[in-house]
Amino acid sequence: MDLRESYSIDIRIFDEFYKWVWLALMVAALLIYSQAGGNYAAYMLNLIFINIIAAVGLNILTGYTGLISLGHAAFMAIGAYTSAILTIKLSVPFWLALPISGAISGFIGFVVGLPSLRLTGIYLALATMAFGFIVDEIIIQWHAVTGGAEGMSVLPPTICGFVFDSYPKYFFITFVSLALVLLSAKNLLRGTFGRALTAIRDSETAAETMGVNLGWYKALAFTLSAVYTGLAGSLYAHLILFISVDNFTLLHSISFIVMIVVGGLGSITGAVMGAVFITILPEIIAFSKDWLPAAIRNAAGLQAAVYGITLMLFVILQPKGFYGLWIRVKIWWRTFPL
Amino acid sequence: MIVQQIISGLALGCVYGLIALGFVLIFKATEVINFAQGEMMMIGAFVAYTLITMLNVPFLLAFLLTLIICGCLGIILERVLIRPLVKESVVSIIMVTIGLSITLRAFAGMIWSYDTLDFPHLFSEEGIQIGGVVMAPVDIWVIFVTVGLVLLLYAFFKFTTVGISLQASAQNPLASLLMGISVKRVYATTWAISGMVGAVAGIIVAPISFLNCNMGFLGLKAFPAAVIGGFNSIPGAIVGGVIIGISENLAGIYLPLWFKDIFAYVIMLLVLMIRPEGIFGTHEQKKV
Repeated sequence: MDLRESYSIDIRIFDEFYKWVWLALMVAALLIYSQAGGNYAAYMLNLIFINIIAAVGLNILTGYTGLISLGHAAFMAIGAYTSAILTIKLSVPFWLALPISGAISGFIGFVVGLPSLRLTGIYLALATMAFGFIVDEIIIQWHAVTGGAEGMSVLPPTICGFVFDSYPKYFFITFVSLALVLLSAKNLLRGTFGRALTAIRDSETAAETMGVNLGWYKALAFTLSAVYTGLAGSLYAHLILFISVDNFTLLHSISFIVMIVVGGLGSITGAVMGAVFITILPEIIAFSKDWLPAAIRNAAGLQAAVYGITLMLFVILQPKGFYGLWIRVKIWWRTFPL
Repeated sequence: MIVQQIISGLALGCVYGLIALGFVLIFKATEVINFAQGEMMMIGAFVAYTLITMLNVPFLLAFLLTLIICGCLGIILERVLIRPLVKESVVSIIMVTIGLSITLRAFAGMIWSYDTLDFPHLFSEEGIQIGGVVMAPVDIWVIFVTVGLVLLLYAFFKFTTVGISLQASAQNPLASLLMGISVKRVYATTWAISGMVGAVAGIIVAPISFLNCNMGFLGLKAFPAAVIGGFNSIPGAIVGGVIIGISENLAGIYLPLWFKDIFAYVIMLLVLMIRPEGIFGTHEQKKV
């Protein structure tokens, strides 16, 4: 059994040596698969990484702080459009446009987060939903800058003269971004900041009594969440090279929620698991089509139905998501004969 | 011109109000928000369509059958999806109803196809002149049905034992349980009623908008209505809906055209910031 003797040991990111080994093996496998697995595999890996970044962002807000957002695709849109406009219209280099788009998205997240002191639960959900609609409408109407409803094309990123113009090459950018995001998120959340957010989620009154400044921490949670999601948006824009409002609708906001619910609310690992599962879900469905009865195999709503049913099943039967399942399996193994 | 726009906004607003009524009923009794209310409306419209055009059931009978079917659907959904989550947080219940709305939309698409269907027109298309204002008969019916439904629900909550027990269990589930009210049955009743309200909304909306498995998205416009009127007020839902309907139409005249689509959400955000409980809503202080 593992007895922890001090707090600093308890909050270490890698608490045991074998995790370093697994990590190294996984990085090696991802590198090989992305470079040798073909274009489509590299594209899927990029998409998975971007979704993980967005899911981590949303999980900070919804999973850790308990504030639900139905407008997260709007932050992604802000990140994507900021990056696209900066690189194309103002010829800002990509390595600068990426953090700027995160920062602008974070600033807007801060502004949106301010009223969240007054609004909780369903009211916040509705307010963020309205925010999403309004951002979409602004993008459509601001034709001169955003290209309106027709969308705009984005250039492949260039860093120091090297053009990342294929999916396997772009993999390095998303991979490094993901590593930085995961490391920074994990570090922020294991300290005072993360504890304050969790305290707010579990009881606002109790948290306030303990000296947590509710308004400040809620706005910070919104900001941080929007920064990550904005970064994901920027990366997404440079991956698919063409963006329009259709990429950032309410349904996309919902799909991020599905990711964190399925993966596990309030855990980074959960966000990773959920994003991976939901991103490859269409592949799983396509793969298992042969075993389905003919009547539903070719139905147009099949994917959406699987989506909705998955969400409902997880909320009702496995509210802690894949991460909760993983923890249970781990405990079961550790205490096996008992 | 303005009067004309106000009148047609009134009818549109009643439609929003009818959908909002479904949210409000469930919220009043269970403090849960049902994101799938728009989809309940869609199912109601499709069931009525199937009965009338495919099975040739006369309209009134089809109407009653639709009410029963949607009421039963409400009970089943409550039993299967909502009751296991009674003690869970608001977030998980929002998630489950979002999942439900996706699933219902997908199943409706599978059963009734993704095409827009033609709901039988019940009234003549010809407008009626009333004091210089032209009104479509459908619009008049929408307003009448809405007012009638609200009066009916108001009387139900005010004068019947079941209605009063619904209110009691919303205010204090434990106390009403001790008074001999079955809270489980109250929850089931509420969902049944809101399913029926959804069905009425669907049958009314389908002829004037469109019959499509995406018509549930109309429910998104009903959220501002519910928020403005107050999430726990039945008349508030209709008043909120009418405010949204009229101001949307007026915004269409006086403001740039594109503003019309998001005007409802702008109003909703303003109300949320100034008075989150809405016009008629009451604010309940929660204890720790």
